[in-house]
Amino acid sequence: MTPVARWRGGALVALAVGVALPFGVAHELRGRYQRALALQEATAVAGYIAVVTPRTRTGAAYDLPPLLIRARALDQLPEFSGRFEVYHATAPLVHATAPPLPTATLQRLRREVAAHWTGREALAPLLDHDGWAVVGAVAARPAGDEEPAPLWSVAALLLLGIAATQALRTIGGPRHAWRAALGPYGMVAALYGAAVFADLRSAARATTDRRLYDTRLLIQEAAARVPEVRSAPGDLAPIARGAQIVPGDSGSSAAWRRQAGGVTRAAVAVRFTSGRWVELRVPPAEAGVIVWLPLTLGCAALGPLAALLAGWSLTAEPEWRRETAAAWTFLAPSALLLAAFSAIPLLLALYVSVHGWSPIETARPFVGLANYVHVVRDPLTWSALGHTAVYALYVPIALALALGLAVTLGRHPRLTGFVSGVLLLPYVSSVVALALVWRWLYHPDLGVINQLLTRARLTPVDWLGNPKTALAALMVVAAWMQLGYQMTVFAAGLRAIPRVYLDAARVDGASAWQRFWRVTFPLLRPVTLFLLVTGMIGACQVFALVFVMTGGGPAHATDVIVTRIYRTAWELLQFGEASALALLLCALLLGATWSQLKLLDRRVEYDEG
Amino acid sequence: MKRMLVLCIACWGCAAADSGAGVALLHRADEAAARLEDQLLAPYRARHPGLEVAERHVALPAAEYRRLLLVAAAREALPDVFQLDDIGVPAVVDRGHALDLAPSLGRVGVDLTRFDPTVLAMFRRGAGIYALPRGFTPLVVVYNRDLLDRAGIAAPTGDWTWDDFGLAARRLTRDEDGDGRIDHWGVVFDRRPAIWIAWIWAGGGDVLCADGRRASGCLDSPVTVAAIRWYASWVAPGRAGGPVAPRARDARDSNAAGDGLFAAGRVAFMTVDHGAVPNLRAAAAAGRLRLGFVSIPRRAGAEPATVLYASGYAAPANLLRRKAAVELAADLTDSVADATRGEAGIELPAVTAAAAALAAADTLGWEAVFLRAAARGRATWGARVAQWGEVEAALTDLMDRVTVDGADPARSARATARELDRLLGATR
Repeated sequence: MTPVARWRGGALVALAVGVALPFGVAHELRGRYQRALALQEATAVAGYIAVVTPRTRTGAAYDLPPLLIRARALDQLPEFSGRFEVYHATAPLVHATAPPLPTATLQRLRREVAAHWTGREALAPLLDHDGWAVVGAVAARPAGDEEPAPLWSVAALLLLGIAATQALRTIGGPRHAWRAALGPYGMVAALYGAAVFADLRSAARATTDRRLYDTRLLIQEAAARVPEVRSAPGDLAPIARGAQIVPGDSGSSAAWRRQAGGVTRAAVAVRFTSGRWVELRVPPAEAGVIVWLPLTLGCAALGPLAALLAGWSLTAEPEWRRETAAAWTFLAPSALLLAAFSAIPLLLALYVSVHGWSPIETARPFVGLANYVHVVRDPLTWSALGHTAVYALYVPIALALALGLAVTLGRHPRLTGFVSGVLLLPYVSSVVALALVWRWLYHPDLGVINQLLTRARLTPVDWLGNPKTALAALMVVAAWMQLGYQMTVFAAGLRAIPRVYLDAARVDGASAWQRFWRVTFPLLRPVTLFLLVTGMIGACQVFALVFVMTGGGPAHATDVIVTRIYRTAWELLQFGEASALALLLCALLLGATWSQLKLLDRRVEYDEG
Repeated sequence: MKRMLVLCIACWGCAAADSGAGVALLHRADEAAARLEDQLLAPYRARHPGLEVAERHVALPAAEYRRLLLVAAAREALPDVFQLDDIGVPAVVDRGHALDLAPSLGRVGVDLTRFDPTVLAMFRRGAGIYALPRGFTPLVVVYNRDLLDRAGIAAPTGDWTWDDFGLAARRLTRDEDGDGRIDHWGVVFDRRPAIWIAWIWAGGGDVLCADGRRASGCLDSPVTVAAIRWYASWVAPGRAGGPVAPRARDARDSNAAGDGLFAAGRVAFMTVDHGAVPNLRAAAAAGRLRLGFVSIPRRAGAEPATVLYASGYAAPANLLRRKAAVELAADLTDSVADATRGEAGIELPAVTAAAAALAAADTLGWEAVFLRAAARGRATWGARVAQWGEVEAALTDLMDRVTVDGADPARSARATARELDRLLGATR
């Protein structure tokens, strides 16, 4: 087989996979929607029977003759799409010649009291009037034949076939020919992906509408048979499980979509009597379909991508091919990680920050900038920002200490290694473990620090309990934890400075201080800048140390911006405000980093003459 | 980390609710209490051999457990039976997440008169009963008999007052070795409102007004401000004779540090609920501590009072497995189950007869003190106010401002009252 034929074959296989996969997924999802609809209808019919069938005089069971009449009447209800059977115990009521419900199935229903899918039909328990005991079952079959045909998908598939044939024929031909054919192929493939998605969405929407119409019919029928429920719509809840019945106005018979509390709901107007309307709302099934769009588009793109790869492989130079492949291989993991763990969360935070988003509320209304306004107006935000700024001051102090140590110990390389190793231990240890140790060291009664103070006849200090000392105490711990790391980096920077500069300065008569200030320090500027920027970012993001040592107390004296975010999100469950706060911190960090870069990242020019 | 656990549990809740294979039970317990609860499930399991009871427990504080329930409720993923604490009642019940058990109680033979009426009322809304109470606890004071004897102070009695308490606490706060540091403290200062509100009530004050919708006029009333000032003075350095309590650094410290100091025999008085009994009983049995219990002292002229906390078992409103769930809730709240928990020291039985029997069988007399205190107890505000979590946070800040920043109690109480009014919807 020639290379051209091989590549064409590969592109054809990719096309086939790209066509079949979305179709398969769409078919499976359509089936799932139908099964869900059957489950809902079985439950709704069971609820309807409980509402409209009178109980026996002695208990909560149903009077059998009325039960039989109601069940059969329901089967004759015009426009009701459900295909169902009602069983009293195991006996079928609607279709007298239907096989009885297996005893084991009824036993299972009695044990589990839950609707389930048997493989052929949905089965819901029929509970007695009090919702106490299972007295039968309702079986519902999916209305597969009423499923809308995937017209858009079929039309797009025809177009795709034509475009793919054109594109595959050009593979192996001149470069301009396959490039020209790829454009239409890609567009038609995208169209195909979108068409499959549109059909899928339409199937989901049709399922939701069907559910609404059938439930409305059941509710109206129940209201006609049991007039008392018109004044107490709450009694209709067994018919509309998973749906909401709210007061409503007159409306058209068609279902519509609307925002309710920031969430899209499918709704339909239900008429009880003249002038008495309610609105039936359910979550629209099509709302969850959007997650399949990347799959349908991605699969549809397989064919054009394979054709692109085939055309490129047959025309590109071998070395260029190898280099491009290597570059993408190296870039892909980082790009994927960045997208998954940075870009997507950032976008999500942005979305959440403009919504009233809480895990305990189903409604998540768009609130614009209200969350930002609220956090900006909250005095605790400003105090937390202030504490964060003060806390971050430990970074330059620790840097100065680390540089001093690195320079001092630089003359004794062996000692530098040992001291760096010892000082690096806190940096590589668990922050929580260190925080617990320091918490103990700072303990007002039992802490070593206060015991030493007492021995020195000094007044003990409640380091973490006094708002005046708590933040400073945290800064000391943070500086101690960072010192070893910063010293190690400075030591490496010092070793990289060419000896010749210092010798030249010495020959010119520069003192030790002048050599440091005029030669060493300027040449360490990139290292200093790196440590300062990363240190400041780390300081602004401090959480574990504060959370374990003080919890933000006493009296919010050590409340920093990230503990504020944490409390807002996890204690007050205001994720919208917490996201707004997090994005404010992000903006603040960007600003601070940019300022530092502007201030310190000036290039140092040395005149060689 | 704990929050991650909460989410995991919430996710588990979804799975459990969807499983359909049996009855899912969720309750709040540590390992020992969970083992006991599992034993209490045995009769139910024996009566329902084909039914699997999926028991899950979480060792979370009440506030975090409440958040867990709310997250699960929002996702319609509440387990078939779940423990409902007093502070969860407004949010769970008022949002319509809990099933009214009243219509089903006759079927399982539950006689509501067997429960303590104050406790039952916490789970009642109108004619509806939204949880069957399993246990409750008032706040009382535990004292170290050895420290009192050594100082020549008589054991307090139920009718003691703040003056008696203050005098004793001052005498019991001692620098034994003369190094300038206090070795024995009079009392544990707890900055958690859940604890100190009992003292405010015993002083005749309150943090919210009767309807629970307003704090102005109550939190900043002279009698409440005086009570806050008096409570805060326990740790005030400027107090005549010095502070009588060590200061805890944060809310998490209040509990652990206080318990630790008391267990070490370094504090004479501590405010506790019944949950402290198992550890204290073990310490007493091992001879490490000689203990007594007494009700919270009242301000002279004020009525004795304390706070009652309770828990019960509830079922979700949209439940199909109603029979199994109600039977399980009834089983876990009957007199045998309640008495078993009471004997283990976890809580007082909500069944009145079981509580009385427990007190009668207790040779130490501790349970009788709890019961006497409970008779003067009132339900926690948390059982009525949906925003209690936020109210508690504001009250913690108030006490911090007074004790840590040295702010004026009257001014701080006024500011907090205004803040709470806005929160509770009394003003905009």
